[in-house]
Amino acid sequence: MPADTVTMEPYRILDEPYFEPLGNEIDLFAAACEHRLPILLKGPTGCGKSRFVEHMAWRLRRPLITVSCHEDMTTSDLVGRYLVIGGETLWQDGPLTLAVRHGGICYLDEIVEARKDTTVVIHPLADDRRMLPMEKRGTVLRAAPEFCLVISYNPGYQSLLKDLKQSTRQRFVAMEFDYPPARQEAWIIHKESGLDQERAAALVQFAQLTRNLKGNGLEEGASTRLLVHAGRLMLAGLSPTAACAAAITQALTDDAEMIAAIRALSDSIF
Amino acid sequence: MQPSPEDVLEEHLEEMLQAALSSRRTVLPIVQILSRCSPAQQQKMLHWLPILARINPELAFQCGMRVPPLLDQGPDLDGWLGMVIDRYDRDGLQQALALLRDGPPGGSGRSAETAFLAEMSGLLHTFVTALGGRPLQLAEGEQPYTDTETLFLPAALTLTGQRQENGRLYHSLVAHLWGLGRFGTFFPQLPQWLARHPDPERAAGCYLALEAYRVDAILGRLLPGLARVMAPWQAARPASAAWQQAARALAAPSASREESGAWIERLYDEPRPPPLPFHSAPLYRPALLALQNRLEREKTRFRTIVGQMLWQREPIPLPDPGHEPHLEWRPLADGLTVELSLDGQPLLPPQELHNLSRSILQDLGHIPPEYLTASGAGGYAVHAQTAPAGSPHTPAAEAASASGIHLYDEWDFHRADYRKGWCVLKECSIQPSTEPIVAATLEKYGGVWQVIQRSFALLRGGDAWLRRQAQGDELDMEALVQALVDTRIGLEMGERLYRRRQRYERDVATLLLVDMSGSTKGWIMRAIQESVVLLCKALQVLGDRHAVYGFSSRTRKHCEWYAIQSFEHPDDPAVEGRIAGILPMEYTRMGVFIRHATTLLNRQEAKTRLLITLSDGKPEDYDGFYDGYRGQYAIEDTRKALIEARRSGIHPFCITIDSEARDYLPRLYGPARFVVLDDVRQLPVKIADIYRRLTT
Repeated sequence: MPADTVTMEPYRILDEPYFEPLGNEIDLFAAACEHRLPILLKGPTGCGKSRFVEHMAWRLRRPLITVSCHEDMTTSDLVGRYLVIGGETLWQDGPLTLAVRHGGICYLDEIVEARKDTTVVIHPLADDRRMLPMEKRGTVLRAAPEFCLVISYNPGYQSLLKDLKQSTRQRFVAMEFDYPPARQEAWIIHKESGLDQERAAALVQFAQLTRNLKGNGLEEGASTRLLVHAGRLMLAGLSPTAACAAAITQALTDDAEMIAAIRALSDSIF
Repeated sequence: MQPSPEDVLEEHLEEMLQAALSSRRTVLPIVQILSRCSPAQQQKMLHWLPILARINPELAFQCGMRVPPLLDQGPDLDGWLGMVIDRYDRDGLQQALALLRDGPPGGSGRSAETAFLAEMSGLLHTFVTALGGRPLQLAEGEQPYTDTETLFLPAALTLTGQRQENGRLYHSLVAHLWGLGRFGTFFPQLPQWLARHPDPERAAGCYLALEAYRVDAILGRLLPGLARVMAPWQAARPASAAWQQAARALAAPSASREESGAWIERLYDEPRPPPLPFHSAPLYRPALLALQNRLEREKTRFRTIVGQMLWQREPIPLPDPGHEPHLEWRPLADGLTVELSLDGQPLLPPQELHNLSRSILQDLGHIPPEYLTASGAGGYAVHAQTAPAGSPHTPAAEAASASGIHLYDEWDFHRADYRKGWCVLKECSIQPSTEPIVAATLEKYGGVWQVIQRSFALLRGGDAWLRRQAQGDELDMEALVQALVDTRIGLEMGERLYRRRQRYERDVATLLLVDMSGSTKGWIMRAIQESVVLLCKALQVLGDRHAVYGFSSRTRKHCEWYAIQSFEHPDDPAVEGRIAGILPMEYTRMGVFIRHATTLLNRQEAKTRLLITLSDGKPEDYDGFYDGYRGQYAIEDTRKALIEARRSGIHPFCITIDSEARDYLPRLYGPARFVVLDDVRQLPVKIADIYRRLTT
């Protein structure tokens, strides 16, 4: 599709996504956006990073374009490419270019999954130049004032290969996310799944036990997202043990002994 | 005439138990006992007796005499005899016989419901880790108690009529012992507290019973599911009115050990309520001893790390005699982690310091000011406290592995179970030789080396353009021109118009295990050395991370592990001397070495982890008893070790020059995971090529 006929409407978020602020994150994000600073969100999987970005896009009334990064992603996947349609070659903007051109929030989720030579295209966008070199078109695109770059990564993967380069990370305003304190996490589960607060609190207690197993057989403990899933299953009438087994235990690991151990944990809570 | 079944049995048993028999001691009593058993029971005994006889004929003889009369009660024979063998392995014949005399755990009639520690220890260890706090070990003990570093648990529990319920009681016991350590029952001033009473031992019993009430109440709030298991026992527990009053007071969320201490005086003369099955034995000295040692050790270590942190600051601050760095700590919400700051600036402490402060907070409730003064970096040696991942969970094993000694389990296929901590692996160093083996090998195999260089250089990571793709980064001009021409002359336009950049990254870690057994003497060893040189050189060209280790064994207690090249030091100039210094030594106890290689390889961050074994024969070792590590026993243990390796994401591969290897290698490595070379002289020529095929 030619660049000027693209409409950004599908990228706008119309209904408020539920988000429970734990600190000053909303103010911080808004201030960074206002002053055109790029934002780095770090935190374990399923703790609410993506939800937060959606919420902020809604709050700031900007379109949101999310890209889940992966290791085969190339610069063209972000910037755009020429397509041949009916004997004609047409340029198609990539998601990053779209956001830069039309002034939206571009959210690169799990940025460390992308190869380092792909990541560097965001460098000139992430400092005060705020421009996107489009190598294939031989032009440079200046970012619209409302453009905001947000990236996220999970520092919990203890892999040296999956670390963010200093030259990349030192361009961003960084915000750290973690699982919320027990009381708030129970409240979030209650709000998101509709489960009563007492059972939501028990789910959180169970999650904390699994989080102690991080690095001792589990790569990650149960995330808030998984607890919400379990809460919904419980609300649908499943027993807590069955809901935890399906939504949490089996999602965390395939190791039979570990599954038995986590099942014993849920038995000791419910 | 056909021999009677009794005659056959007698002959069979005589052969099996020969070493335990004498002119006055024959197998006849056992034959008589067994002939009264049902065929199914006989079969069960005839399964176990040879297994026991291989371990110790006397043990088998006693088993034959004692076990059959109990078979009618339906004991869990596998669990019980497994316990007996474990006891034999650990404490010797007399202890094993004593266990055999005691009969199956739980006495008569209920043994099928027994829960065994040996079967549950993995589960319980994960459980106690999930509860949080200081890392704890589990061990078998005569009575249940904790020294706050290890939980001692009975080998088996038979308290209820259901195996699952007994398993839940194990969980309750573990949670209770954990709670004693976690919620501050043991603390340095406890002896002074107890000394205020006429009989400190009596006071201690009283205090621990009170603490059991307090900890149970906390567990009830924390783990409601487990509390349901404990509730019927608690409800049925007889207690005097005064004790019941104390129990109610200690169940309050605000109750503390001070409150338990205050109750001692009032309950000192009252009869104590009996302990529940998931309670600790009334022992507190082991915990205090461990506490004293730990406080001293952790203080030293804490101050050393603080010192290292101050030294490693950048930029290094100028020495200022008037200014002492001011360290502060602040507890975080969970009460067990702290935030450290230096002169007002937050510090990012290493994980070890986190663990230490967690343990110190658990013992003392705060971090005393003297801990926050640094001791010099590297001023004095501190013993390593943590064992590498994957080693057995015992304090002894942890202490051992810090000194380069590792304990590994060995698979006994007769029993279908592991012999725990059976092999002692020791890291040794090779006496280097000054022979210039690298230059000599490269000269001797000049042609081969050139081919290796060229073919391996092509494999190095890099980018390549894939043309005529349906999707891609760029238009493929040639394809596009072709397509447009096709359209002009009325043909259908092609769809593959793009070119895509294919990135090719090698992310391989390879561990080469070299057989240094005695049978490699002479030019086999020479060929092995040359092959190691060529492979290492090739891997350097390729840029793959690699390590080379040699091994040799003489019984399970002398498994020697020789570092030739480690992953950590790829450019170590001493490697050549060590390759030249490889010597034929003794035997090949394969399993333990594969397990250790697995441990090392799993510490490497790599997409592909490859374990290559270079060997000249079957796994085999000399052992004074059993039939030794040979035949099916050795094959099965090796196979088990390889399965463990594969399960952890490693690709094992074997290169051998044993012409009989085709008989047993498929069972060990799988059909396509080995190469048999008929002539050892081919080894140096082929090894790089084999590797190339493996990794492309």
